[in-house]
Parts: sequence; C-alpha cells; structure tokens
Amino acid sequence: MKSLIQPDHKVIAAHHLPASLIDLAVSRGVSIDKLLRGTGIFKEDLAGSNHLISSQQFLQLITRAKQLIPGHDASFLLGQRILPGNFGYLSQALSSAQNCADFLTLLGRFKTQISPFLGCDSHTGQGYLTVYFYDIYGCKELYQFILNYSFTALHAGLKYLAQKRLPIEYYFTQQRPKQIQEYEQNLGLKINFSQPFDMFKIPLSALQQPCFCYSPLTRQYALQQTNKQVTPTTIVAQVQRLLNRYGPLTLEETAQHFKMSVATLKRKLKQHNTRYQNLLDNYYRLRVAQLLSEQPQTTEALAKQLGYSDLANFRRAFKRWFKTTPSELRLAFF
Amino acid sequence: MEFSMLKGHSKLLMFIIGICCSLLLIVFSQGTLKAQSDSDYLDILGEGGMLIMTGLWLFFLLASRPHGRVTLLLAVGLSCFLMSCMLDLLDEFFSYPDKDFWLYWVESLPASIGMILMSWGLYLWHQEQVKLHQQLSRREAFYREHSLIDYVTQLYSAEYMRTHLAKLNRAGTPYSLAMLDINNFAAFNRQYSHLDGDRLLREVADIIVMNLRHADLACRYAGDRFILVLPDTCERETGEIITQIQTAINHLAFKPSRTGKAVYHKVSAAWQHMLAGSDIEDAIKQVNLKLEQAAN
Repeated sequence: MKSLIQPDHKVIAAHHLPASLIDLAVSRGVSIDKLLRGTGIFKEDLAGSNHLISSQQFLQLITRAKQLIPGHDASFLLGQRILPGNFGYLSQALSSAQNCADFLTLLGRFKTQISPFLGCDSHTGQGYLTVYFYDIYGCKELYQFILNYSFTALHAGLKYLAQKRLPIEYYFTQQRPKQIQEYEQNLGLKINFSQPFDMFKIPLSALQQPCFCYSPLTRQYALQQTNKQVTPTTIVAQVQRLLNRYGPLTLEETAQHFKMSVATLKRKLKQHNTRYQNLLDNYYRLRVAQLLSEQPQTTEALAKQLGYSDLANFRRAFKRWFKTTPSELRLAFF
Repeated sequence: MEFSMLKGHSKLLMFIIGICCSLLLIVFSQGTLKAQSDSDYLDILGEGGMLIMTGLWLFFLLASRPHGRVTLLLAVGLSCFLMSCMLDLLDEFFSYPDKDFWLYWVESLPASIGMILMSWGLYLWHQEQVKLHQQLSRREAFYREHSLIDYVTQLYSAEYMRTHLAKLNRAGTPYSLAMLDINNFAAFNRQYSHLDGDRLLREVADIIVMNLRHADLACRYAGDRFILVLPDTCERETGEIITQIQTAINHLAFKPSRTGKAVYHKVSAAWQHMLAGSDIEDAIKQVNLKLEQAAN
C-alpha cells in the first residue's frame, strides 16, 4: 500500500528508527528532555504502542541528535543498529531473504517504511549492480547524515546476513570529509568522494551470496504482511518515477497525470524544497549515467539519445547537471 | 553543564555566603546612605563588574574541582578577593563615621591576603598538574584539547592522533604506527547490546593503555579500531608490544550484563615503521590496508 506523504503526515512509528536514535543519544550522555525539546515528541509517547510521528518531527529529532551527540560518528552508529532491525514484518522479511540480491530488492521496495527520505534507482551493466541515491524529501543539510546512516545500515545488514564482507564500492558527491576514518570503518576502504552521484556498486556475482537465515515460508508470509502496511512515498519520488518511465514530460503533462493543477503540483514540490526543473535535471543525470555505463558513447550520440538536437544546447545543460563537461565526466567516472 | 561537584563543597559555600552576609549587615548598620548625586557611575560599573566576575570564577572553580588543599586555597583566596570587591562597591553607596573607620581597613587587606593564598594555591596546582600529566601519559601527548576526547573510551580521537603525528614529523622523530581492531565486534553488539559493546570498548582501551610505554600514545580511530603510535621504535619491538597487548586482551574475561558469562575477544593488528616526515594520511592508510588484509 503506497501512500503519498506530506511533511506533517504522521507515518513514522516512534518505536522504530526514532527510538533507536534516542537510545543512541542517551547512551552518549545526552539528556532525553533536552533531545526532545522542540520536536513535539514526548517521552510518554515513546512508551505507548505504535505512536506515530511525522517525517518533519523525525527530521527535527535528527537535527537535535546531530547537535547534541558528542563526536562525529552519530550517523554511523545509528546505521549499525538499523538492519535487519525491529521493524516487525519488514525486518522478518529482510532477515529471511534468499540472497543479497533478494535482500536489496526487498529493501529497495520498502525502504521508506524505515526512513522516508531517500529515493533510489538502479541498473545493471558491465558486471555490476549500481544503485543511485537522491533526496526525495528536501532534507537539506541533514541529507548527508541520512545518507551516511542508510549506507552504513545497508553495509552492516548485508555483512550480517551474508556472514562475510562483500566487495561494495561507495561513491559520495561530498568532498573528502575530515572524519574519513568513520567512513572507512563503517563502509570499508572502497569509498570515493567528489563523485557525480551518491551511489554504490556491487559485483553481480556477490549478489548471489546466500543469506544465512533464508526461509521461504517466513519470507512469503512476512512479505504479505509487509505489503499490507503503508509504504510512504513523496510527490518528488512519484514524479521521478513517472519521468523514468515516460521520459522528460513537461510540468503540465505531469500535473495532468496526477490530476492536479500546475499550481498545486508546484506548491507540493515546494513543500519538499524543490522545483520541477530539479527533478528533470535529476532524471537526465540518471539517464546519462545509465547510457554511459552501458557502453562508451560520443557526446553527439549521448545528446541524440537524450533528445537534444543542438549540441551547444546539450553541453550547456550538461554543465548544469554535472558541473563539468561530457568528456571530463567520462574520463573521471566511466 | 555538569554541576554535581558543587554538592561536595556545600560547607565551604555556606561559610563564604555567611561571611558575605555578615559583612553586608555590618555595612548596613554602621554606614549611612550617600546621596545619589555623590556616586560615580563609572566606578560602580567597574567595581560591580569585578564583583560579578570574581563570583563567576569562584563558582566555576568549585564546580570543576574536587575537594582538596589546592581547591581550598584557591577558593579562600578568591573569596577574600570577592569580599574586598564587595566592600569597594558598597562604599560607593555608603559613607562611614570617620576616615579611619575599620571597614576601610578591611576593604584593602583581604585582597592582598587573597592574592597570596591564590599564588600559593597556583603553585600547588602546578605540582598537581605535573602528577596528573604523568598519570595521563600514553593517553595524552604534548597538548590538551578536551573537545577531542572520545566519549566512550575517554581516549583521544583520530584527529588528535593526526596533530600528534604532525608534531613528531616536525621534531624529526621516526615512529611505528599500529592499528588494532576487535574481531566480530558488530556481531557481539547484535548478540548482546550496544551498552555492553561500549563497555567492552572502554575496557579494551584501558588494557591497551596499560600495556604501553611512557612515550607511546593510544587513540580511538573509529568504531572498534584503535591507533597507536610508538616513537623511536623499530618494527620488531613494536611487534613485541602489540603481541603483549593482544595476549592481554585475549585473557580479558568480559561479562556482558545480560548473561554474566565470560566472553573472550581477539584483536587483529597491523603495524609499520615510518620514517620521520612521512605523509600522515599515507601512513595511516598503509596500516589501515595492512589491517584489512590481516582481518580477512
């Protein structure tokens, strides 16, 4: 069951990820009253069964935790605690996945039940599965924190279920951080910074690595139950999916598809701190990545496949998407 | 902020407050209020500021130091100074019977006595610091920066290690760099609890420090990884020390809170000798890679 969420919709179970974050902060000497101040979450709510908080409240909680937890490793420590985790049926389904590929597929489908902020797209080529991550919520300065715990969760979860280290390579758009040791410790030594995408790459052969708790019946049952639960999605994710399926639609066409006025669509996107043009740009960035990773291409061929007839025009757009030229990107990345 | 230290000083605090109150009473009973036009506002501002600041110093002194001779001397000295400041401020508002009234005399004397006491206290404090520094060696090198101390293990962080290595480089000291990593730490965390994991880290950190020599330094690198620097030490000697640490940790019978049954741990290690002036990031990376191979 998919449900379109807005910042104030209460969709996140307080005893899931928020509780893990609160536990972590308390174990690092942060007072719980200070942590919850201004978030609109109350201590009593956390004890109650199935109290829901909004994604906005969760972001506020993350902001507070980031400020108050000493050291630079809060996002990684949180990531270590997430998967397979205590998310009820979803955790059960993830735990009983058949192999790493199955685990990633399930996670890709239901990840927003755990943390509704990131979207991802994937494709396979040249012996690798590549998964790209982007903000579908408008997390602004919290994006890096969220990305860090997501990658760490994935890495730690896979290592746990496969019972071995997998050769995953991580790519970050951010510059090389000062706290490089935290990244190395939690994601392994194959990490790259100042890249055009936030993504990870895993060899297709590693995906066949079996998970040690595989149980077909448990998996099937837990999956049925997970399907009945609400999987939150945002308008940003919806538009991105639409673009991936039908190509670069105009704002009007997209609004029409969602049966809303152009003004409403614009307003809804603004709630997530983004504009339609940004989503189009992201669509093109992902397309370029896909085309270039499938086979080496000339700039002309690339422009043609993306529907640009004028090369100068294409170069200008390309500069906006990647802050670099096609040939430089090819050299540095593909 | 953390003010639990203050509770231990309640008697001293009461005493100081008592003396200040009685002085106030004496001034109120003996002096006569001046006309408002006679007071100099610049003086009031300056002396009032001194009073507030001295009070603050006294407060933070008591809030941050345990009982003892040094604390007592510093506190009493500061209190004397505080009294002088208070009387100084009050005589802007009160005039006393005659020029040689004894309160004028009280006003100047405590400040100088206070200064002498504080100087004596500072000298003892210096000796105390030298002792404390000896206690802290192997956890701390040349300089102190409390924001770089790791919350869990109370060791310094990787950032501190980087500045320390830069110092060794500048001094032209060759060193051996070592890294230790607890095996299956993530699995331990999952099986028991993160609180037990934190406690294990703390105890392993203590064992590492106990097995180091005076000039060596241990820091927490990240997660369950520790980084050690052993100045002027060759690869063979480093190997011996690391083996000693590994043996010590192997024998730690750690008891998780839930079961109370001993769990034993092994640590992987890697080390390498570095020439003076080697690139720091490069050095760390080399040892890191070596450790990664050792762990697999």
